[in-house]
Amino acid sequence: MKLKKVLGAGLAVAMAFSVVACGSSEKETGSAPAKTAGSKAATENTANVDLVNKVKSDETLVVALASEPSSLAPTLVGESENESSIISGAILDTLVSQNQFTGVVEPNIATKWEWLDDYRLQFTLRDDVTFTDGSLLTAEDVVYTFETLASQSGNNDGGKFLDPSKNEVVDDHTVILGFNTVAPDLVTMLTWTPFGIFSEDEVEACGGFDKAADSPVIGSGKYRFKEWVQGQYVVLERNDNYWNQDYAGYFKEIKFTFTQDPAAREMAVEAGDAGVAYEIPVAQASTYVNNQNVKTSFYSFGQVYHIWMNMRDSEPMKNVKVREALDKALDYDAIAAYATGGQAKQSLGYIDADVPFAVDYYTEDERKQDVGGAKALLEEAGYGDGLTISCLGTPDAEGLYTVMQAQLAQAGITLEINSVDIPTFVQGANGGDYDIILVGEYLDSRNPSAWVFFDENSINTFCIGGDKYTSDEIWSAIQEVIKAEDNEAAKEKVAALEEIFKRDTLVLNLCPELRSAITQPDIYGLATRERGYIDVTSFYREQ
Amino acid sequence: MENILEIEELVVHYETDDEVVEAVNNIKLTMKKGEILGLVGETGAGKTTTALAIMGLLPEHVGAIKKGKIKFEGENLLEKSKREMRAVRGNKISMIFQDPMTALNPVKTVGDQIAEVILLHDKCSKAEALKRAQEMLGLVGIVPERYKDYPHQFSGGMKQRIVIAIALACEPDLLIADEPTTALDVTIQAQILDMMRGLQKKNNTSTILITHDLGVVAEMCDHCAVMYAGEIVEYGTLQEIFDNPKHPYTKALYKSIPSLDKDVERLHVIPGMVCDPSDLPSHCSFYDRCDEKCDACKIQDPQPYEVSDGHVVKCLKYQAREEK
Amino acid sequence: MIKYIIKRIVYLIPIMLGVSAIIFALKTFTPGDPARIILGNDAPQEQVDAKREELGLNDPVVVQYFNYIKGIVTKGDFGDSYRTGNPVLSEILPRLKTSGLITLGAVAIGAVIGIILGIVSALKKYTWIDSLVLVVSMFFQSVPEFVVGLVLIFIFAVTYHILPSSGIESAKGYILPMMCIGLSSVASYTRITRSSMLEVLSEDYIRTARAKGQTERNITKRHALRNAMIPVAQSIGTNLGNSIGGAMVLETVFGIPGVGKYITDSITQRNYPSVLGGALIIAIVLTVINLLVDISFILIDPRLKTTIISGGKKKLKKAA
Repeated sequence: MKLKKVLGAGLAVAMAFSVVACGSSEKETGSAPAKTAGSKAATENTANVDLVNKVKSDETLVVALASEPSSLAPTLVGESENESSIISGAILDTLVSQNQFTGVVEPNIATKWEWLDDYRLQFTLRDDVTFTDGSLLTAEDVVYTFETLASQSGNNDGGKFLDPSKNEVVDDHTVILGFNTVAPDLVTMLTWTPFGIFSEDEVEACGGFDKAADSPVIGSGKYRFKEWVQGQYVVLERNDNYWNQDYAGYFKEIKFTFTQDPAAREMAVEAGDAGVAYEIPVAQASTYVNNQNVKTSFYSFGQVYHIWMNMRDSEPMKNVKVREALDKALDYDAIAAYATGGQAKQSLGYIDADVPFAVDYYTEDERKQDVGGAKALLEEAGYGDGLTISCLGTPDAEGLYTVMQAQLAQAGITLEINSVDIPTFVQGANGGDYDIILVGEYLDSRNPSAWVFFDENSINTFCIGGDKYTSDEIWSAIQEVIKAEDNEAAKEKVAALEEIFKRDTLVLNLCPELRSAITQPDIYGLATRERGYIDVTSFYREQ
Repeated sequence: MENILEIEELVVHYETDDEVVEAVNNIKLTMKKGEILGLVGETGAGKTTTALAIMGLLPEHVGAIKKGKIKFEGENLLEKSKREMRAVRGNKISMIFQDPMTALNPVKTVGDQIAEVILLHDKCSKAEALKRAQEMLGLVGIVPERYKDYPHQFSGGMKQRIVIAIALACEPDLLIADEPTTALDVTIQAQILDMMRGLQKKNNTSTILITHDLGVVAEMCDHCAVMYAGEIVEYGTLQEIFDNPKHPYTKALYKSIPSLDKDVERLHVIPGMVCDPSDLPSHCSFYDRCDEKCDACKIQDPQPYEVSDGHVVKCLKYQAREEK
Repeated sequence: MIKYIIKRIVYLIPIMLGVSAIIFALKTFTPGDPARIILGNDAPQEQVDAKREELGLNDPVVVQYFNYIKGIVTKGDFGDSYRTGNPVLSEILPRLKTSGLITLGAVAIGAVIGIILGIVSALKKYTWIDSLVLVVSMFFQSVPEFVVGLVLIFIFAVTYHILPSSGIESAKGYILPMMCIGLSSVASYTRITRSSMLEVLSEDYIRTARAKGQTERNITKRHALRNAMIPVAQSIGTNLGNSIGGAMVLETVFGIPGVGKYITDSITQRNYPSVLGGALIIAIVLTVINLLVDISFILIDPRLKTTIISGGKKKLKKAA
């Protein structure tokens, strides 16, 4: 079920498939607002900066999540939800991992890797990795995992770009994986939780995919599945046979509980019933900043709020002057202050500034609110007497829309807010039932799915939001970004793309989407994975 | 014969935030032991209020005795504590209420309800009380075995028998029956009255029978008091009142009784309305409706006047005649 | 009596047919494609179409409806949840148990407090005590349950560490949710008890009891209370039903799996088998509860025995 995913991505429907995952800047209680650039290194900031724990204890960490996932090994049953990704991320281990501090892709189960050609990536595997049943991880298991992903999750992030026909077992510890698209950054995708390796024997021992998804005694990760009491909690226990003896999980057990109300999750931490409360809405989290009984952290994760304007067949938005007027009428500083609870500034580019291939293409000056200019443009466009446009959103988006509504009103633009439930939103957003739409896009990697708004196929079949418009010029600029050899090279291509966006005012970049977690004051080691998921394996208590 | 009940200058008001209703105004009444007194009058004349005042059951916070004495067997009931009054109620003075349909608790067996009053006033065991309750049922003409039944399983007339059984269970000295038959069918009325008369004779219980039905009074009572607007306008023996009514109101009441002997087109109706008890006039309260009024009636409130031995009328007509 | 019970159970059939028909109608008219929801937003359209075929969503609604009813009648099969693929019945029963337990506790807490307050304010009517009771009970009714829940967590879990903030691993975990839901219903019980007490206290049979020389305390206890409890018991019956299906606060604030949120979530997720199954199972449970409540009335009010046994309509008609 995609509900969680949709919610998790803010409002939108996560499209992006990205690479640099842990691009998160995090901020401790009371410190300066999250910075907006260069957090990969995160030296002076607090993102993923805590020292690695070396102590093992018998304690249990309780992690309060918002809702219970429908399965614990989502890729086995073709699902992806925030909560199940967080849990399975501790159970399954990936071929490569991403450095918590630098964001660089590092060896994990695989010791080295190289592209044999555009579509084939060869990995050399460790020979000391064991599964839950004690058997050694081999190339066969990797191929089995990726075939499973392609068949079970072929429609989503887990398997969309895999081409199992190109997979090949070279020897026990050498494996070639095939892809169906050219994107060097795909290697970063393999650090994501859905790409954790498991074996066929394990899945069979569980009783098949469905059973294994409910009680995943599979994988070679830092923690192992212990118990799931439906409706109540999930318990994992530390894997003392984990191959990397340098890693020490502080907590013997990790227990996930599910409480939808964020205030109740925060109070669970304050009461000492939970160590960590995940995903507290930013506006609410900022009210806990001065509460000494808990530690409040904010982090960005490569997702930016964008306003897309429907240009397909709805007249006002087709007009570039109207789009420009909208751009001028909006006060991006105020929007950012609202959406991030004052923790981050407006985005000066299409891609979040923390992402390594991002460029700040705009200056704050040129993005200043200019009501007079907006009015003049509307006059020119023939809407001098006023203009009414509609927007579509889930109830979560209502607040931000209301802020924009007031700003647009100054320029004589009436914004009609249509707040609907998620399935209706999905249908309307796909059908183009809006003039403007707010979408939080995850653009932390140069991954083909991130650019779905300009893919001819997507626009005409299934695509949530976007301008319902594309051109060869845009599409080829996007291909350049995806195919660029490395992030440095990609920056140039991104700049070219930004130029097109800017020239035609195709998209309005609002601000980074932040996420917040609350921990007990003596719990350290908050680290994040792709899409801002917390990595529950790195928490520890200060001794 | 000694007086069982003496009411002196009793004034009862119902006081709410909005108004003061003068329900009973300065009544004086004496009753001898074993006597059956009929208290007659229209609805709202103050009959029930008088009864409730005797029982000490005027509605709390609202009903207030402003003045007067109610002497029962020589003791002023108004000076008794709540506890003392509880010992009187149901024991020495009992009351039968108008509507038997609602007078019984629907969720308790009738046996329990009769036994309750016995247990309250006589020291006996529950079993004994229940046994006596059954006897009481028998006394009022109900199969004693039905003591386990609930009120809804009885007809209206039978319910009233049960109510009477409750009232008589402790052999009270004074029984107040507030329109005991009004809510019943005519045939049942006769049965109940018959039974009451029988029991009254047997125990020689002093009884106040409140009714608006002069026929019932004629059948049952030996004295009669006619109430109008909170006052007793005429009092006397049954014979006096029936054969020689003095007060214009009493006379009017007789005229309004349908009669088989006389062939009249329509019943006599007393013109006008009863005066508003929250706004009583300072003159005779029957003035507006009286067909024998004179100018003096509008100036002066008449005092009770004994026209003949034991026959008291509250009307200027007789008072004035005497004074002339 | 047995005839009456059977009759009541037979009444369930049209109710269930009605409920399922309404939900089937909703399914047809609400936006959002269940197949799309199962497969995810980025699934290709061909897959979505295939899934629709697999789920039988392309059949005419009448056929879908018929198949569904057939499944229930022949196999007791309420369908599988779109979200998890598990049978709806097995998902809902443990939740129903949890919700039921908490509801019972909540109704008990709410009713006991409400009835006591109601009696007190009826006996002390128009005094400051009466007003105070009114204000306090209205407070708990007008403040949303989840706020009360959060405040309770703050007091009992955060400040005093007496009770867990969430979860039902230990029996203690049940206390706060029961209190939270219970407190919100105090006002209605207080109001019903108060007005019913006042009404009963002005009944003729109370005057009869006074005329017997009975003490006020015993009049309240032996005569007024049981009669006054009849409407209260009715409202407890309705409340039981409402709370089982409607205690959303359980999941949102206390992290306890309840049946109410299961169904509302299923609605947002267009998880029709869960909505349908949930609604039908709750309809059955409610009917059974109502039946039990009705039967329990007989214990309070002997008048009903005759009417119920004779199969007449349950109505507390005052014997005119």
